[in-house]
Amino acid sequence: MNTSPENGRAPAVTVSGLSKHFGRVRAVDDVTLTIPSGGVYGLLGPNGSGKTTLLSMLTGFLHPTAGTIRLRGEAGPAGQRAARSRIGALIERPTFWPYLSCRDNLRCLQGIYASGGGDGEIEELLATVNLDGDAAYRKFRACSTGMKQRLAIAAALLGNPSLLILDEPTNGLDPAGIVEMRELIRDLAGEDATGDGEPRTIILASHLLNEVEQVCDRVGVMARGKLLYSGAVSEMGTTASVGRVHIRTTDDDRADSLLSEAGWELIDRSEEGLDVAVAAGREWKISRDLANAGIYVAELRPLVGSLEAGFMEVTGESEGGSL
Amino acid sequence: MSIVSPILAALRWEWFRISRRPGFHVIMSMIAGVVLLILLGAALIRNDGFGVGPSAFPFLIFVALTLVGPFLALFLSAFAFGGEYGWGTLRAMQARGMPGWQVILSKMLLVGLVLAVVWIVSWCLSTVVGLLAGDPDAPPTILPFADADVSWADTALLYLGNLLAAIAYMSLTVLLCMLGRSATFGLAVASAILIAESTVYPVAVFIIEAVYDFNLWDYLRWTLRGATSGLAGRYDDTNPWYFVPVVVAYIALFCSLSLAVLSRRDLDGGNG
Repeated sequence: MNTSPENGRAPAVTVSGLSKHFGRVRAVDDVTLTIPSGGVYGLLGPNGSGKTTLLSMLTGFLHPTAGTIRLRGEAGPAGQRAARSRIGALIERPTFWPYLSCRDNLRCLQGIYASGGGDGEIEELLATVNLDGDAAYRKFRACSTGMKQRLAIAAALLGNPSLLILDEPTNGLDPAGIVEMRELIRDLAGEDATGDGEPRTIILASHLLNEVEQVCDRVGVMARGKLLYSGAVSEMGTTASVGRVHIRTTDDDRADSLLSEAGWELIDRSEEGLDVAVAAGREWKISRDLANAGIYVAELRPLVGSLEAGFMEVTGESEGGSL
Repeated sequence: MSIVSPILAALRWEWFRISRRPGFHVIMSMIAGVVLLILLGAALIRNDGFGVGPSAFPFLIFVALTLVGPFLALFLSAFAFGGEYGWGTLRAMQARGMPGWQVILSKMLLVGLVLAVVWIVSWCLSTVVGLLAGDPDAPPTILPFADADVSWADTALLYLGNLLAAIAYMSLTVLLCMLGRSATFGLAVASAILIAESTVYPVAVFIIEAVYDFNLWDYLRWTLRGATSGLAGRYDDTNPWYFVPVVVAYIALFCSLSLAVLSRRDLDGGNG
């Protein structure tokens, strides 16, 4: 069994040379990836980049064309089956028996998974995803898209799994639901899933940059079936050759004209300060130029766009915000 | 114990689901209706003075089971299996590593148990009505292909053979549902096979007997149709029990192929 050098535990997921071909289409192409135990790992990529296919192979729904998968260090069929019994997954879309109520669907899956939580677990999960009360008795076929998505999250949480795989979990949720879901994911990541000190690992696939930035600790970027980047979210922004920083100075009006004259690209100007395009690792030069002119920097921080810039650079996209 | 417990648990939740489907209640109500209709028909025959009396009921119910039983097995198995593909719930069931054989076995056991209940109730009714007819010599069932001189034990064996034949067609439907990833496909193809067997076989046998003067049934007896007919006592020269291992072998073959299909194929998320 392999262990992670970071915390001495086996990585939650290790894949090596993993590929999945559908005829001539290479949905996943030679992906090698290690996801450490604990925290939220974001899988970021445009539609059709292979995120869902990769996750479906982790859960055993799809058979790899090539490559190996280790779940908690287990590669053999028996070990993987045991590891999968501790995986909660929402892949693609919620799948439930349409003629059963939300509560009965959960009861049925609880019985099939033998998670053993009893009615208490069902009530707790329904409350966690805001499906308690009358909603719990509504037939699945009569549920709204958001309710179905929430029920799928509840089902994924059955048995308190140590690895949670969520494929675009905020799909179909209203803005308030999206905020709640992101908070829930953060909360879940902090839980001791197994009760023996083992942290819960969450893999979150998304095409929303801000979602990944808000929720994830680490990120993998996929495009055209390949894994192009894997590392800390904070590092990904700084690896971009061009990002954005927000600056607040002792004299923003002078700073504006000075930076423009010095050749810096000003992206935005507001009462809160200036947004400036800057190459990775060259932020200090802005501070230097301003200081030389007697203007002192009160605040200098990278913007959300840094991740976007990093993503664009990694994926080779030319335009932002079009995942 | 490690194998039995998960199977029993899976069986319990299979029942939990199927017993909540309105279609299941419709099918079972229709079966009860048919049985009542036959019972009523038998009573009317006596009233009309044909002299057959309620002892016609055992014969009629047995013939009805022979004719309708395989179709009932087809419907129930397609009912239990097919929807899982369309809804994508096969994925949900296997999401935590539930092995494919467990999925197949639990569903087949459930359908088999439902069929067994139908057969047992029919046999009990047949026996009770036969006894109530007041004729101790009246056979509880009249065999369509053999002498009427059979014992009570023989009738139980005949019912068992009949049930086994239905289970064989149930396994065939399961395999077809797996191959087509759809209840509609499984049901349609299995029904077509069953109807073709019922119509094409006798015509072919008749023509070949007329033209070449030999009994084609002798050559067809190891086919599924031939073996299940053998269980019902079609072949005078062969004990029906000789066909039990043949039909069991067909069931094992269909189940193995279903498991192979389920294990080797990717599981998609259904159609919503």
